Amino acid sequence: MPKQDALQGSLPLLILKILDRRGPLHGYAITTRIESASDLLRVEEGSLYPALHRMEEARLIRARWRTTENRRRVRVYELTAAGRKQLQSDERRWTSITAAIAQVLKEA
Amino acid sequence: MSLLTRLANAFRPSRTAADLDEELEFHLSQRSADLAAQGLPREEAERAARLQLGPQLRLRETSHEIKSAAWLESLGRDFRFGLRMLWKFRAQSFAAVASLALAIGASTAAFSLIDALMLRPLPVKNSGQLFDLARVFPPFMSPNNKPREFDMFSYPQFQLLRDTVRDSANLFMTGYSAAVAPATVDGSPENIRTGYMDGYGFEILGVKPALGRLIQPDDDSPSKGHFVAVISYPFWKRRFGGSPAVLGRKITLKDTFEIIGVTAPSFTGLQPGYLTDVWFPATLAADPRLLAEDVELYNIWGRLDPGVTRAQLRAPLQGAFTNALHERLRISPPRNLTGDRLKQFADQPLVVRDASTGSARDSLFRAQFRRPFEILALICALLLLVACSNVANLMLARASARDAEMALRTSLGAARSRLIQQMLIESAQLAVIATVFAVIFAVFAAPAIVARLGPSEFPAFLDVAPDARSLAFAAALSVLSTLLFGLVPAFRASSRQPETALKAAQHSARIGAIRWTLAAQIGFSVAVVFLSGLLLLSFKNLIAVDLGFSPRNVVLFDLAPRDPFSQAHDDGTKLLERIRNLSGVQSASLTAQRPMGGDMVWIMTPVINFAGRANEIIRPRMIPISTGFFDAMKIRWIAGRDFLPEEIARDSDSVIVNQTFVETFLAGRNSLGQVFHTIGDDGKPVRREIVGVAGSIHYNNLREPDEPTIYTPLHDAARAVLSVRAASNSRVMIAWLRQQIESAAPTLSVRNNILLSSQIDNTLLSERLLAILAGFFSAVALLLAGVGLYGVINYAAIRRTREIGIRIALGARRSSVVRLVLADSSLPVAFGIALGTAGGLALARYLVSQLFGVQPTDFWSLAAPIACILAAALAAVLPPALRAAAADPLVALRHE
Repeated sequence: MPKQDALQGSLPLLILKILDRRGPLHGYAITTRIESASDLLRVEEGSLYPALHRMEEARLIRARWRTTENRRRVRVYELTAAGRKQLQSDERRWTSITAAIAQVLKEA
Repeated sequence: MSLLTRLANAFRPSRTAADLDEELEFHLSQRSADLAAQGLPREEAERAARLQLGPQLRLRETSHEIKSAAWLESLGRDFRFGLRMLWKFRAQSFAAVASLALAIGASTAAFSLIDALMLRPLPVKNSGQLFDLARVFPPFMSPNNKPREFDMFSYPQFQLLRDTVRDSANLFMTGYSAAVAPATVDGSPENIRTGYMDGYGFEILGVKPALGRLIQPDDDSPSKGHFVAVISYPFWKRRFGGSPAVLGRKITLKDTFEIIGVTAPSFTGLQPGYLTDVWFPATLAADPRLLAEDVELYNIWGRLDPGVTRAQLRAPLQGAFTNALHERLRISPPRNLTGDRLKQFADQPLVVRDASTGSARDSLFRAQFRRPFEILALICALLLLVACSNVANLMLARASARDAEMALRTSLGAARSRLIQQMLIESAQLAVIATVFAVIFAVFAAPAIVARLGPSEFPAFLDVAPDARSLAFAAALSVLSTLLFGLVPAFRASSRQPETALKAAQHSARIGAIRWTLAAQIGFSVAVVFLSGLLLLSFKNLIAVDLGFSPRNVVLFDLAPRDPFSQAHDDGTKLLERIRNLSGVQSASLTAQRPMGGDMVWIMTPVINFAGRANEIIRPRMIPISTGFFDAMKIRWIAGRDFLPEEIARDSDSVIVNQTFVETFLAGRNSLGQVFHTIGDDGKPVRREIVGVAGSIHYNNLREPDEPTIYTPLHDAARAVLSVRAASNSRVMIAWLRQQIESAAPTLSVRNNILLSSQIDNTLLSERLLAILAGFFSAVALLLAGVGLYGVINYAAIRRTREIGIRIALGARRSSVVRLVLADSSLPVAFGIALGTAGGLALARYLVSQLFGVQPTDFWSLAAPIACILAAALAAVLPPALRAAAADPLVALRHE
């Protein structure tokens, strides 16, 4: 996939990063976490769950059911070892791309 | 998610959907709670939350597809789509299914045959524990001077060996007769195939009765036993219609036996290829004289105790056997064995052989058909490759026709794996449909082949009914062929770049990857036609062999004394006189051995000496004959005279030799009156005087070149073969002759009779079978090559319609258009022919034993198949080429 949209694929990276920082979270907590961390980014909620499920399928994250204090069943996601590895490489790639773009923007 | 979970998901979609709903519901409630906390009214908050999340239903579906067995669902979709495609391209699908079904069916039939003959374990429990015994005869005891295994032992030897290894194995004694025995079954005469089993055999084997009981220890004893018989299940069905009233019926050979049971359906004997009809108690049924120390007539079988190996058994058995043999030779030293030969004979090594698939010895049947079956399997495998490459061609052509579809799907984001999956499913569908027909084909083909294996008087028995093994084989072939013909088109289709494919779909004139599968298909076809051609040429040469005699209307009668232990001789003069005087009989004579008897050769003493010359070591064939033999057989007469009646009667030293003998030993000399001596193992010379010279004939089989032959006067008609040339060879005539013979010679009985022409046919069983199948397979291979070429070239020509139209419009000549279209096929054809010929030559060495009068490197062996392929190619390619050339440029330009 040589020409991929630079922004495409950033949602999984964010999910990985958040899960890595904060530990197991449910889907809604992930959206609020992203939104509270940034004023500019807003999660397209319609794409969050498909993304989560796709990542689960790829074994980057793992889901299990937890019960909350008010006895609701919640689906909670956490990072797998593969996810952690993926996060490292994605993060590195992401920083280098943005750095390169920034470089170009500055010197063009 | 593991495959198991996916499968579970696929079958419980509602549960997953419910999970999803629950997850999304939680999200909504959290979001609306947060919004409400920010001051929104409750209803407003819920609506906003819902809006933000997007349409739930769609969401659920995307997620469901990802989570649950999207893969399984897509499988189902591809399956239905595949069937639609098969139907849409139904002409191609039909061609593909037909060629695959034929090839897989032929291969499955060949597998059934090989399995039944050589691979399938005996249908008894733990057949891996079974073994049989043999000893290795020294070279001087075998016709070709090579050590050979011999598996017959005497009853005392059996008793000794059984007792020697009593602690580690159970031995039993058995035997079978390779010829049919005339018997009286339930009051009417019938030829049966007999087997012998001692009292423990069935129990050790673990064979159960289907009815009644089997032979038990107290039935079988040399002096006091029970005259009982056990019949095989097929015999029971055939002869008694499976009636339970069979128990108590009588079978008479020399004695009369009462039927006490039927063996289990699966057990048909210990020799693959031979069906034993009736089992008799081994020692009871035998004449007591056959149980002597030196009468070696029985097979020894056994079952190892658990944990014991065959190797452990050998040493004690060998020790006991050698001791006994030495003892026997000490008491009665053989007259004709001295020195080294005696020692070699006394120290025969014993072998304990694996008998899990039936007798370890290559029965005559196995020996005769092992190689032909292997050749059959080889040709079937090649045919399967032809069919696979043919189907690959069709699939590729179809795939290119669908380039646009594939390109569209790729650009719409279909994963490459999905496209491969879909192409493979279409291939698998073809293969499965073909395999169904293939199994049906094999079910009919295999028995038809079996029916051709045995001589008419002794049909072969191989159980080739479809079983789990053959079905598994067919299924495996189906999978294998799917991969063989499906992978190339699948990868090609999936690797198309959308842009190029979308463009190329309209204008590509190249046939691309098809060129290679086409070359492969033509190569395999050439190999099939080449190998088949060798077999066909061999068969043609064999049936064109000049026999040197005329088999027309000659009937052979095997004579035997009524009392099998009678030593009385009978010179047969009266018998011959009586028969010759019958109306309708043209001539009659006696020989010691059936002409065209197959591979049994009477080899004369190995040394010959002409006066004044050194001893020459040869093995001339010796054929004892009566008067009138050369007339009866219509053999060309060269010089001298026939035997005189008095020469037959007394021990005369007159001999008649054949032309090959004269050429070999008496070149350029007058042979009549020549005297020579033959010297046997005992070193004594025997005087011989040549009184006549006859033309050379094929006496033993069609393959052997004429050998030096010495005809001697035949003294004993009691164990001879009577050949009668009659006015006709009708059944009535033969039955009448048989009657006449038995009334003319009351001490003799006719054991068997056969037409000399059938006898000759019987020497060609495997060759004829292979020739028929080879002819069929090469026709199929040629047809497939033609279909493949036609399909591809036709397709290419249609694609180039526009281009051709332009060329014609610009003034190109029709002939150059034809050449243009032909050019597409010339490279694959040339390449295929080169490859196929090289491969065929490499494989031809497996056929050498079956070939006759033809070499793989002969001009015609090579030229004929290439010419056939070229003709088929031309026939396939010319029509589309001519059609293209005849195109009206205006119509062509409007094409597409």
